[in-house]
Amino acid sequence: MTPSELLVWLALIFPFAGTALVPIIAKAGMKAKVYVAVLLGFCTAAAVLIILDLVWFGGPQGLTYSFAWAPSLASSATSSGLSFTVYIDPLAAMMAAIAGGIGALVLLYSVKYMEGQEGLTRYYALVLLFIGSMIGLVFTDNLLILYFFWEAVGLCSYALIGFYTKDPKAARAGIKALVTTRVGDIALLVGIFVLAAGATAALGADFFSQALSIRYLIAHVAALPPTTLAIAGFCFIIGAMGKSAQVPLHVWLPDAMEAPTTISALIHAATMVNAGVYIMARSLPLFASVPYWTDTLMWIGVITAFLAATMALVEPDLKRVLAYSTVSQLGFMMFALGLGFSGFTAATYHLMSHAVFKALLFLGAGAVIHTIGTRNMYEMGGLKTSMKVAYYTMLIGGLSLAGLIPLSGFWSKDYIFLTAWETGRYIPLAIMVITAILTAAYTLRMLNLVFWGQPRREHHVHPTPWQMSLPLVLLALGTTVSWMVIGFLSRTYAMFHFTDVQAFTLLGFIVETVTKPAIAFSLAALALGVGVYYIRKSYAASSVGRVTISAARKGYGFDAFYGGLVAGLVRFGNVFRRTHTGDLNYNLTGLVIGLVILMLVLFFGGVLP
Amino acid sequence: MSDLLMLPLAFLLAGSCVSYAMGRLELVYKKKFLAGTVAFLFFLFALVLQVYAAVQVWSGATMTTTIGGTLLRMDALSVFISLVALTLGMAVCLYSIVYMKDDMGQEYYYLLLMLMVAGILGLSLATDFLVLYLFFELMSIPSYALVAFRRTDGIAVEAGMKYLVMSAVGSVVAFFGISLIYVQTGTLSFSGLLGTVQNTTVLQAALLFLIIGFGVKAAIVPLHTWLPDAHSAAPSGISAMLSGIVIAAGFFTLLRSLLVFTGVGLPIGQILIVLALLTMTVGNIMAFSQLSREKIDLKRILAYSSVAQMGYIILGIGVGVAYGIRAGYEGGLFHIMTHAFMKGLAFLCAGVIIHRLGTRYLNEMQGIGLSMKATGFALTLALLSLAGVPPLSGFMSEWLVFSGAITTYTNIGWVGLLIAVIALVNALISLGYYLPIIRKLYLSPKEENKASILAARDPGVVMLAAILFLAALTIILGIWPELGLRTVKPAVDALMSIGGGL
Repeated sequence: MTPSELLVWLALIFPFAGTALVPIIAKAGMKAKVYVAVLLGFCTAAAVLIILDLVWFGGPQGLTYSFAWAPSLASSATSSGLSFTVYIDPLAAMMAAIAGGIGALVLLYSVKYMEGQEGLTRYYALVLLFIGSMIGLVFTDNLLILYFFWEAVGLCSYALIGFYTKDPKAARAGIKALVTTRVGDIALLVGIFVLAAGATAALGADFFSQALSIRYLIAHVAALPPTTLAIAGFCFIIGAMGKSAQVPLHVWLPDAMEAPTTISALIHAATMVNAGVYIMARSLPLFASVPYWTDTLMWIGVITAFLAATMALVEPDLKRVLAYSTVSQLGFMMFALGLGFSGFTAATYHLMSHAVFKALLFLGAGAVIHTIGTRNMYEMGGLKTSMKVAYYTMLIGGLSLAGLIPLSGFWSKDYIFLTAWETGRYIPLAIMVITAILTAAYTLRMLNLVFWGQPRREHHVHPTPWQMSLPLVLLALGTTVSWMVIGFLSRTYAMFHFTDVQAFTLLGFIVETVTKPAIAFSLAALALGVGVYYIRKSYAASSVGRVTISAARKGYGFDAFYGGLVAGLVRFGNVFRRTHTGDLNYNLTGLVIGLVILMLVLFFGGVLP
Repeated sequence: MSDLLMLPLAFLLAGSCVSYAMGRLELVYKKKFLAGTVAFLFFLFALVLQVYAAVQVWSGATMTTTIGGTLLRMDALSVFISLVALTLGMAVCLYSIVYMKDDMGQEYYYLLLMLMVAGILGLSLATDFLVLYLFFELMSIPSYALVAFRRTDGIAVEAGMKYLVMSAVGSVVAFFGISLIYVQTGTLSFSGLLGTVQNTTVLQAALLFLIIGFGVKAAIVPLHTWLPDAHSAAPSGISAMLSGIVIAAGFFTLLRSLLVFTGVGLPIGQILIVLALLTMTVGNIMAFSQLSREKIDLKRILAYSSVAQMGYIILGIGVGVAYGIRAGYEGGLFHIMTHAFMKGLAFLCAGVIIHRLGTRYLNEMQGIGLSMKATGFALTLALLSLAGVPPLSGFMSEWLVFSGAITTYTNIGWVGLLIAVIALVNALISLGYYLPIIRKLYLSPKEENKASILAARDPGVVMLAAILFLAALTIILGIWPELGLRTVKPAVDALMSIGGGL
């Protein structure tokens, strides 16, 4: 076993071992449990960061390892059954670094934030399980194993949203998240197996070792039947819509804010919701040639980004604003991927910068909520002076979200605009620019309501402990400098032969950005956003304003629609239940009559050949 | 060497006698736990022997023995079902030692339990219809008595009665089908029938009779109506056995019989697929609609969930039979195993809670997971596993079934996708009743019974051991499915060759 292979397995073993260890160590005491969890979180982070380094500065082959997981599934003597195959390319390494890095910071932050809560064993075990699953999800090359972790992160999300089990609202939100994302998961599973079955039939590939391998499929994409690709491609999109909260499967994410804020930061902003974007990026070479596939993806992104931004603009709950903002930003990434191969770098670049600044915003919001004990922004205000760390870090995060030079959000969003401009997608681009305007406006509204102006009620502010301020400061630092990795990112992408990827140097990228017309959109969006923010009062007073605002506050009726579906199922079930009388006479009569009818059909009808 | 295959069966039969004797001694000397402990030890021995025999079978030995002109044969399929039955039986036996300690007539309880498992072992060894039928009845008859074991409980007696009548009708119908086969062909031996049976109307009728007859025991919709009553009214250990393995053994019997018709050109697999879809849909909708009743009976939801889970098993096997899809067989068989353990676990946990609180209704259990931590956690695991959530065993077997169903896409195109989507939507609906149960377990207790909820404690070490054993299996089979798949693989190899390798 080479050192790098050991490292890869360790990156997976650390968090899972933590999940198993935390309940055992919990017997030794609260402190030990928490610090073991944090320690393992940082070990994981170190491992994935070294892996990132290995991949960026290694050769163009990535890291490939494999472990025979279920060899008994072999269908023939030559087949190896289901193997846990690891393939780490720059995309996977970056995703893992985000999950591990932000995961470790969140664990550290949790030490104080979650102190004194009930059920901390469960909390730390699940957070570590989540980090491990997320790393497993991006490390593997096997679609089935990817699906395994895909569902496992869903489980963690469900259990952590419902962390406050005694709160009926939290429990309901957890169930809603699992059920809604399961809709997408079903489609993804269908997609995976249709693809694998198609590859087995068309190429004679071995089901588990070849037909499920992403690299094998991409290498043989030309030989796959177009219908197979089309069905699988659209199924994959639905799967991504579930996890990445794209309209109309976005309804679970705002409700997921019942989770502890640390969880919102880690799972519902920085990592898990990126899984959908990740799988779209991963499978782009497979489906890019499917008719309408990229267009569908693009429009889903556009619609989601826009609708979510409008909802964020009117939301009174601080965390839900951030949730809608997450949905909207994920829409930006989907939009970029929908531009085809040329949008690949932009999408993943934005994914990275968004992960950092959104984690920052959530953790900052957590500090605020922790301190003043409400999530309603209309009860906040004037916290600028009393919560300095939270204010300045959140200011950086917010301005990055709004797209201010030179913060990371500006560079990645601008790059998306630039790609769209160069591929000539003017109409969707226009909508996205409007969305960017709204983004600037809702960010400004949030900062204003929370930090600026006069306090709206008495707050007893206590100082932020270092375990909470250190992650904030580190993330703020990341927001300021993380955009500079574009050089490594684009060069390694090009080195790994991701089609159509342009390799930049950092300087080249800056020049490219500031000299192309797209920068005008970015800057105009920011300026207009400020403008929109200042006319908000008069808009809200107009009749159009009242209608649209009330519609947006109700989430445009998506929840009502799903509620109706479930109510319909319940009603049907209750009607159907009446057929089950439990009366033996009816059952026996039915059995005998059925038997007689079948016999008659058999003898006179000749139904069976 | 060849007699080895009889040993687990013989051990169980001997054990049932010894345990009965011990039960009588118990009455005389007022020593509790004697019968149960003895029964548990016999289960353990039988399991060890079965594992030993299994290793021989997997390494390629053919194990046959002849008793008075009757050929018994142990193949990979028999090994599979026997191992599952013995493992679950052992856990239930251990659990019952304490769970049933205050019940009357313990000497009968273990006698019947062991005879039931012996029936499953025996029917897996059969090589002709008559022996199959006899052992099928050996499994069935104790189960009637066990459902109505608490004979002062009116509901249990009524449910047992219903179960008895429906199953007896089923048995008669199946027996009629067997008779028709004999009339038509003059033989009842599987190997004699395989490849020689013709596609005649009489045999089609026989096939129908077999499906309907054995289908009652396998709870195939619309023959499932006895199940929700019987499985919810029985003592919880017995519910675990019935839901976990007896209905699966019923389906196993059906499968063994149907395999004789392989290659005749009858659409057996397709019939199974249709029945499977019907079974899982009705099971799921019924389980789901239990939640809108005024009083939610936890065990009844679990019972209906068994109907739905049988649907997954039959679907997997069905696509295997119909289109020779390996993943279907693997999924179906593996799901028999995982379902046995997770449903067994769910019923055992439910049993403990019901025992502690004296109520079967979920409404009155609100918050019980907060005080009975281990039991609540185990029940949560079982329910999540049933819902098909990784890293638990149910996920592993369910995706195999689904992959089999989706693969039919390459055989029958859109219809195959439709089958898969129906199955998957069922899996979605099933979340709608598993998750609310979990939620109820951990909400704050209601005021009116707060004291009794918070005072409830986890069971003692013996019952807990049985629960943790099954919980561990549920986790291990999820993280390392290879353990179970090693047992499944030889059985699937046998099924993939025509007629199940007969």
